[in-house]
This record gives sequence, structure tokens and C-alpha cells, in this order.
Amino acid sequence: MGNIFKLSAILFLVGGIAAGMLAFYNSFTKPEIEKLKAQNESEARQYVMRGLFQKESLGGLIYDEDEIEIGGKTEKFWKVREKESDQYYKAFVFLSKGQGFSGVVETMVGTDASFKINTIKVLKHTETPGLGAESQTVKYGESEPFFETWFKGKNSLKVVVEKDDSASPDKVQSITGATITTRAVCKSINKYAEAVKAKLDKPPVIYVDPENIISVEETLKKAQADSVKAAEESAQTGTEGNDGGAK
Amino acid sequence: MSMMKNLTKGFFKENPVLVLALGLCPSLAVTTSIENGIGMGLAATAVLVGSSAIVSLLKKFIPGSVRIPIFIVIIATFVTMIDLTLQAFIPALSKSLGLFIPLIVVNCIILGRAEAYASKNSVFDSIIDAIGMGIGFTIALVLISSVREFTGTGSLLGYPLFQLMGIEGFKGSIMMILPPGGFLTMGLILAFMQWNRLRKKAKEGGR
Repeated sequence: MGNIFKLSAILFLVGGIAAGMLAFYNSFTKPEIEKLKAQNESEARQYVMRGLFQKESLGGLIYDEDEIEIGGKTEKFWKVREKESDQYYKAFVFLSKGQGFSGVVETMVGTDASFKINTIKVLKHTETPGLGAESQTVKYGESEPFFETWFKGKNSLKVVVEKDDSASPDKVQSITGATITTRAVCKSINKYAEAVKAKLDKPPVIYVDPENIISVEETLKKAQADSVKAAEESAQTGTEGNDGGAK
Repeated sequence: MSMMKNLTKGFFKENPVLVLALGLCPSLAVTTSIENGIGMGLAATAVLVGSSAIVSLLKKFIPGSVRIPIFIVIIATFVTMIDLTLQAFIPALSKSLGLFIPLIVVNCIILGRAEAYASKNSVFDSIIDAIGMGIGFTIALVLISSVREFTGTGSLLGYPLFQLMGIEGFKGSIMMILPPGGFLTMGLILAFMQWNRLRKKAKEGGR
């Protein structure tokens, strides 16, 4: 009997020492890891905004953080302004997550105010090398992953795999042998864009409906007019709760 | 056994994957590209060296009947520390290996060497043995992954060889980077090693 207690005590001791060492070690590495994570996130945000803003202003964009509900979980997204005085948001960024072939695929998506995709960036995946993992592959002699370029200019609310809807103007090819991965990315973008749109679809309108879009300038004019109108309305009725409003 | 022999026995003569048939699971799973193979091999080597040294150091204090759980705790501690270190200071490597590092805990080579060698030999010998076995594991992974990457995608270390030579049209067979390709390649290499061993044995016997 005494032996059992001795062995348990030894195992307990070993486990305790190991846990203590790891806790100690973790206290060193944790801040570094968090710092890197935040840095990666902000780099990815900047990456998906390339081309939508002038190069000089990319670093100084203002990202207003907001939240959406996806499948019972709260997720972050960002509303992008160029400068503090801007009354409207010019772009949105969200990190969409979807179940791929062998795990979650995380994609940073940048859209303009009409939810047209500017650039996407596949941040994290556990897909099969040579198939789904091609979503991050840069072909020899090219500067960015070919998969990302397929998404440029598509409507994020409607983007779809070619196999599912070959008539859609927002179709994308699927990666050879990895339709599931491609579909996962498309579906997750749809889902998140939908949620962001639903969240913002309250007055004052701070972006413009994709169907009505004519040019960037008109978009902005309309956005401003709408926001003024809505502000007047809310002033008249005295109602509060415009949580989607421009800050 | 001389130190040199102790080190090099893991390379081919007692190669953990190709001869001892240990750690086949990661060898099949991660060998879809050479880069993955090298990364996994080096990470496993680091854990192997660390855990072998500690196990050998503590061998007098570890009671025989609970040695396996204690080995596992030591190995898991090392793996977690390496995982955290990579995440914090070498994020690029952590990104490409992230998936495989937790797998090292259950790699039979590490537990196997702790049990069969480190718990019976001196610290120095154990470290040498661990380095040799680690290199042997890496050799086996690189061997399997170069066959699979080349036949599967037509490239080596990410460079499309055929395209570079100006030959278009060779795209490789996707099957080779899927699980069947892993089994096929591993089977053929194991068969070759065995054939080679038997042939040598027959020669020695005939003399």
C-alpha cells in the first residue's frame, strides 16, 4: 500500500515541477506572442487595403473596431476611415473563418464601401499541401498568391465557386483538387460580409448599397447626404441607438 | 561502442524509420514537401536531445513502474517549451511547423529512445545517441518527402524543376502527395532497405 502513495507522490511532484517550469516559461513568451499576433493582424489589415487608398495613407488609416455575431460567437471587424474628419467609412475589413477540408481556414478580407472585395489574404489553414494549401502559394515568378488575385473585384456578399454557379458574375475558379477549400473561403466571406452589412444596415447609412453604386465620389456624396438626413430625422424624433453610426 | 559508431548507427544501420520502423505516423503525415520534412526532423531532434539528456540524468530517481508517464511528462514539457519559443521568437518557422510540433509528443522515436537507451546509459552517450537518431529521422523524412514532392508536384524544395528547365506540361500526380503516395513511397523504400540488408547478410554468410 505504501508503494502506491510513494509512486503517486513522485508522479505528482514531476507533474508539478513540469507545470511550474512551463508557467514560468510562459510568462516570458506570452507578451512576445501577443505582440506578434497584434502586429500580424495589423499588417494583414494593411495588406488587404492596398490599392484602395493611396500608398502614403495606408499606414495612417483609422480602423474603428466593431463586433458582429457569427454562430453565437462575437467576432471583430473594422470600419476604415482615412482621416479623423471623415464622416463616412470607405472600406471594411473582416477576418472570416470557415471550415475547410481539414480545419478552419482564416481569411482576412478587405472590401470597399460597396462590399466589393479589394484583396483577401489567407492567414491560417491546415489544408493538404499541394491541394488546399495552394491557397497561400505564390507561383514561381509572381509576386502574390494566385488564389488571392481571383477574388479581386468580386462582390463579397455573392462570391461563389464556379462549379456551384457558373452564371454568376462573382464566380471564382476553384483550386485544382481543392474545391472544398475554395468553397469554404467563399462561404465564409459571404457569411461575414452578410453579418457586417446587417450590422451597418441601420441609419445613418454610412456606406452605399452595391446596386446603387456609380462612382466613388457619388458614393461618398450619397453617404454624406444620407447620414445628414438620418441625423436630422433622429434629431426630430429624438430617438437614440444609432449604433452603426459614424463616429 | 565508440562515440562515432554510436552517433552514426542511427543514420542508416539502425535508422529509426527505415529499419526500426518507429515514428511511421509523422513520417507519413508530414512528408508532402521537403521543407516540412526538414522542419519536422529538426524539431524532433531538438526534443529528442533534450528529453534524452533529462531522462538519462534522472534515471536513478525514476521508479520503474511509473517510468513511462514520467517520460511522457518530460517530453511534453520540452515540446511545449520549444513550441512557445518558436511562436515568440521565430514566428516564420512556427508558422510552417505549427501543425506538427504538438505531434512530436506522441512520436514513438522519442519515447522509444528514452526507454531503450537513455534510461540505461550515461548522459553523454544518450545525447550522442539522440543526435544520431534525430539525424537518421531527418534523413528518412527528407528521402521520403523528396520522392513525394517530386513525383507529386514536379518540384524540389518548392522550385519547379521542369519549368525552370523549360519543359512545360509536367504537373506530377496528385496521388503522390495524398496518403496513398505516402504509403507507396514508404513501402518501396522499406522494401529496398530490407533487400539491401538481406543481400549483405547473404554475402557475409557465404564467406
